[in-house]
Amino acid sequence: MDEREAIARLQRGDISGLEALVRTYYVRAVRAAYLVAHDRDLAEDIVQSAFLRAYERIDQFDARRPFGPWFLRSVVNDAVKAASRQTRRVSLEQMTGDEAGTLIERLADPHAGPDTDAEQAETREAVRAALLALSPIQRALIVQRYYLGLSEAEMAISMECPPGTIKSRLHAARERLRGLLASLHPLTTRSEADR
Amino acid sequence: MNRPQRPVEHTAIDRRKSIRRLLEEIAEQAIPDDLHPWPAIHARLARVHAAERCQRSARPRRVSPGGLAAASTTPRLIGLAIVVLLIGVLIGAPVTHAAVAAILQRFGLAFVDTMQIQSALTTTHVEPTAPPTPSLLSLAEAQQQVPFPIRTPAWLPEGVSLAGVRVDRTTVSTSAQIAELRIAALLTYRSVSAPDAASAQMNLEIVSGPNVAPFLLPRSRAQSVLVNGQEATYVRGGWRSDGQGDPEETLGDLRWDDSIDSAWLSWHEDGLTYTLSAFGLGLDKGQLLRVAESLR
Repeated sequence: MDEREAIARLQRGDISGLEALVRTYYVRAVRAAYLVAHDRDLAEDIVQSAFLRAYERIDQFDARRPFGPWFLRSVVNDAVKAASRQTRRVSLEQMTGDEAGTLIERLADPHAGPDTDAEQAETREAVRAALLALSPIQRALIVQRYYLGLSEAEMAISMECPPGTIKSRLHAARERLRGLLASLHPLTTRSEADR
Repeated sequence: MNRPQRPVEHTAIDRRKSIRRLLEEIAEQAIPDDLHPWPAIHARLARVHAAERCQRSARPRRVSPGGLAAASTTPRLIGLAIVVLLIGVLIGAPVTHAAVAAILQRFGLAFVDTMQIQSALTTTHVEPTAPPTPSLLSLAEAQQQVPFPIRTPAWLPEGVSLAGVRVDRTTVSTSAQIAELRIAALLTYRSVSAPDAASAQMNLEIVSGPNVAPFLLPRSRAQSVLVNGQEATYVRGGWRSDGQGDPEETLGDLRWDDSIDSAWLSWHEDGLTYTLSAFGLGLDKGQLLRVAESLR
């Protein structure tokens, strides 16, 4: 069953359409929510609630538009709200200079992949910690832009603000991320990722 | 003439790919591919169906060509507005006796006889006084937020352990003048061997205050049992949406299927309502009773 058929079924009240959409989008949506909320249980709860809300409001959905981007944007917005209620913060000061340095090298040279599983794990942990140090909204911006691959125009629709605001907020989020990492590694320089 | 290369933009694209790859790795590490969420979503959907069914029963019936989804012309956030039955009000009205007979709440469960549901039920709204705890709390954290002792089972099936607790405070308004506070502690247990935590778990809900019909179950499947000498009700099975199941037991588009691995056990004790539910863990009635009787 393709997506249009699934939505058509759902709009007729046939929940097999919802099951098809769940199969297609659940994992990706939970991962996006997790990257913002950093809590697997919470991420799953957010996504399940989003599917139920989509079920309730599917009659308002324009079936000519793709379901995925609309749904994933709503999930990320829900994750921001949920994460904003949490006070957890992880300090990058917990990272050692070597760990941060490894991360910076990986980011600076994407063709030089990590040599070992341990280095890969360190890199992932460093990025995870850096994300946690951002505000939920900044995390959402990074996740929408880099994980979901949304354009700034699409993000503006999702976050209901002008594209210029998104551009400046995204720049601030990247700046914050870069600044956090730079403070841990003296070799870090201003990079093209600020663009 | 050759154009000059633009290494800066090229590097920027590569950098974005790199960040994306790292984000994907982090997400994949935390969230595996083999999730099976449909049973959990389906269970929540059944509750929505049940609430809508009650809601539609409570007002003049309208035929909508769009089916269930279209009938929900006033979408509500789940948990913000749950419709429950005011059985006490209905008792005094002879014309509604049939409806009262159709839906009766028993402990933390509500039973339906869908062939008899009438359209004259009174409703009441439920408003949360605070958002549910957003993530799972430890037992100690949850205990600080509820006024009653959170009892936990001394016996659990092998491999099953407490994942965490959620606390929910809700004001239940049965009229403009009467509002009661409902406080619930929901303990979630998961199996270490279950392939998917979301589709296999056991929940113990301890509620003070009024119940809001969390599950609608077929009255024909309710079994009377005893939990430490207290009268309790046990139901096994589940609603399914694919047209299969018992055609005599329907709830909206759903049909009851006794073979679904879901079970509920509910009873009153010391002024609290306990509802123990399990799905996907393969627990039989004896095991569920053993868990219930081991609460300390």
